[in-house]
Amino acid sequence: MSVIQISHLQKYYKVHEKEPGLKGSIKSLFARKYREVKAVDDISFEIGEGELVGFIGPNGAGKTTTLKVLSGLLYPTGGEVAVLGYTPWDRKPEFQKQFSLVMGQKNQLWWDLPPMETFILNKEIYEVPDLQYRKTLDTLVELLDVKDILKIQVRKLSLGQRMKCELIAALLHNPKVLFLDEPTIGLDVVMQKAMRDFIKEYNRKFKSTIILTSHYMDDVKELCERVIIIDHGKLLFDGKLSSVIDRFARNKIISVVFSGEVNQRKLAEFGDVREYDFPKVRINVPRDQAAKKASQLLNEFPVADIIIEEPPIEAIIREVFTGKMRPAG
Amino acid sequence: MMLAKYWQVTKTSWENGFVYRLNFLMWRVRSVIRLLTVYFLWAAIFQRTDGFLSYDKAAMMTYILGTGVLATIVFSTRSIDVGTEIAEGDLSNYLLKPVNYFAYWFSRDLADKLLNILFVIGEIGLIIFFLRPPLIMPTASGLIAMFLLVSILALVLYFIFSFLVSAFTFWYPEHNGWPIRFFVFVLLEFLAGGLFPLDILPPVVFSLLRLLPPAYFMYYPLQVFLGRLSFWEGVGVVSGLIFWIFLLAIVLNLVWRRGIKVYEAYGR
Amino acid sequence: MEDKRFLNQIQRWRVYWLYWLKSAGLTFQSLMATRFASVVFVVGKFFRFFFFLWFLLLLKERIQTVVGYSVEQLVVFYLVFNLFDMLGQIFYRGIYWFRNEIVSGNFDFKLIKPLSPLFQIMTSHTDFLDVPLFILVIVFLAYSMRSISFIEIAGFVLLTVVALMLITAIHIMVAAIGVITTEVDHTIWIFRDLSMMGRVPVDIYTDLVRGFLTFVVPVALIFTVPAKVLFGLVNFQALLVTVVIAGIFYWLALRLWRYALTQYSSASS
Repeated sequence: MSVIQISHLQKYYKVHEKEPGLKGSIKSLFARKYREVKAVDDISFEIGEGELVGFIGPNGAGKTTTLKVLSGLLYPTGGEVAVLGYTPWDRKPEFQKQFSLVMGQKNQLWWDLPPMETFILNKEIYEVPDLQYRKTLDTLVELLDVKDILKIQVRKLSLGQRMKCELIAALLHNPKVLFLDEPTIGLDVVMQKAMRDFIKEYNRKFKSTIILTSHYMDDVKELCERVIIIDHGKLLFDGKLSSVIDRFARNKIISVVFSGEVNQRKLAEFGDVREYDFPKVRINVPRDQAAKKASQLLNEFPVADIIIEEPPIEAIIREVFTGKMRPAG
Repeated sequence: MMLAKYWQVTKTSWENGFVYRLNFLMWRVRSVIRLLTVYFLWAAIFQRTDGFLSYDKAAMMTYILGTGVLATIVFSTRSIDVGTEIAEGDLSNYLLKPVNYFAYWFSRDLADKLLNILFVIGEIGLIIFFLRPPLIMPTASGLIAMFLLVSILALVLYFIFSFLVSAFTFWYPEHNGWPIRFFVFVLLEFLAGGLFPLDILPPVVFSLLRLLPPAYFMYYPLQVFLGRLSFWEGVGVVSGLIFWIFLLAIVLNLVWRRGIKVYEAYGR
Repeated sequence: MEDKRFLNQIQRWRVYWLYWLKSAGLTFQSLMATRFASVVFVVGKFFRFFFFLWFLLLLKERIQTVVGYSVEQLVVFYLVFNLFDMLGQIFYRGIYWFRNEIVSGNFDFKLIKPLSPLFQIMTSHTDFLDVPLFILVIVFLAYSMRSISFIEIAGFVLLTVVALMLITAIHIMVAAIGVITTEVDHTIWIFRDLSMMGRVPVDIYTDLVRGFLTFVVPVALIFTVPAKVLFGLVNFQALLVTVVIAGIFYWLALRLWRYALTQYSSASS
């Protein structure tokens, strides 16, 4: 039985437009023009227990909106949703005690108190038994290495420390489902890695179902086997990250290191020269011709080294979003 | 040109006001509610009595409705935000620019007053239409001119006064200077003559209060309007206004300069 | 089975109690941290109270009655007004910060917790600064009402419950409006201004206004009616009508809140 089920989810908003200048202001007093924004436009998917799924999409794609519907914060315009068998927006306490939402750079921790106080409060709110609370707290504190900062006011902590404590506050009640909305945003590289390692470890250890949205491809690459790509409210892809390449990439990249002089114009006939930093060159060529072009290069140019590579996932996805690419084949 | 700069400030302030149109309408609704509260109270008092001290019903009702108008002319302001700007360090933005901070806020206040005056005239008109209170209207053009002069001076006096209150924030930035602002509002509610005309107070108290700035915000302009002042008393009011304007302006200058030093010392 | 459910209920109350304790404690701490500001506020509130009282007493020498009430009675009306006005102020102060919470996105966190979001919003601040004056008002009121009969006291207690219910309902409606349209900053302030109309008995207002203050924004039921009970001026029918209106109002408030949540759009990331 899947833990999360979404069927033809729709969430539309009305946004009003205003013309600039004084005339526009006066006009807006009398008649406002409304535009309908389709934040989520017919999305369906299912997620099973213990899965760690990544939502990828540009800003405004509908990722956060989907998460908020799953959390019960928003009422959908249409469609059906079930999380752990519950309808999220009924906001039944039994449901709320089994999931958690973490939003990057947003705090549920009480600003003027040490994190410990929020933990204790959450323990009471979620009715976590004493023993379980202590065990979970100790485990999390150790995993995240925050023992020394628990008694310091949240306002005095750095962003990274705050995010770690945020995570603890969110996980104290051992939620079966965890929604992470841009959890690594604004963190430095070291902290990002620490977060990723923690999420991976948590998923492995507690078998919780996790949905993660992120702008950083590294988050997704490291954590998610399965990705769901959303853009303009529509679902573009749902499957293994590795198949994104097969599905969307139209080119391969041939990286060459030349051992002698080359005629640039002749080189350009081979394919789309992406980088020219003599003697290193990277050329985009259509996938099915990659091998042939590579051997041609070897024949016609003085080559010291040659590799055929897949394009970076970031590039593929970027091109998916800018509409340059449709699924190959 | 210098004036063009501040005119643009006024225009942009107007535009900004439209964005928060609902907020503005709410503010007008609140103002009307508060005016009606005082109006009905006095109307009820006059049900059983023909005169309250030196005021007959027409005089008192005119006075009360007059406070509605005067409050808009004198008290309408955006410059209570100055306290917030000081407390949050946004003042620095203006200290850098080639703009006079006081003139800037005066322009913004003017925009606010203009908009509110338009509305209050309509509101008072509606109140008069529906409730039909007896009123006293000045007919002598000299009186009307005097009233306008005194009102404008009162407007300027309050502007300076309000800035002084905001200046407190340099030394007490907690809650953006709201505590002291709240305290001043409480005082003004009674000392400016909004709830009742000051001369119904016991003579000893009145003789003290009538010398202080708050008496000039609403009480005295309305006394002029009602024709209750002799010519020389009127001159006295104008002199009093000019005196307080000069005095407070000098104090503001001193306090402001000191305040800026304190502000910069904090490196905000 | 019954026992278990009962224990669960006690457990939930305990959670609410702890939550209130924590947010009240926090507010208290911050008041202590800004001691000068707190003192200024308390003094300002005392000034405001005594100024209006002074005004009422000024009237005393000049007039006989206002809409049939002596000045002494007007003072009692004023005391009752302060009593209930401050109760709302003390406990539901959090509503003034609600708009901030929505705009910053913090409200989301309150919504996903298994604890009434309304409770979390309204009790997020407790205004202890009103307590000194509150105590004074109770003392004054008790003194001026020291010789009333038991029936009047019982009626007053009943109407206190009614008043609290109405005040809660109105705060819920304000919260709901805040969720539906975050543009409105002033809703709670409009209620405060309308409340101020209850400083004096609502009899002074025209029929239209009085009707508005009874059925639309029941200021009359919160402030004037309880005071009238103290004077023995409220008959049983009026009492019944008051209780019924209060019940309807409370129910409406909850429906409005539930509707508001379906319209909630949440701050964008």
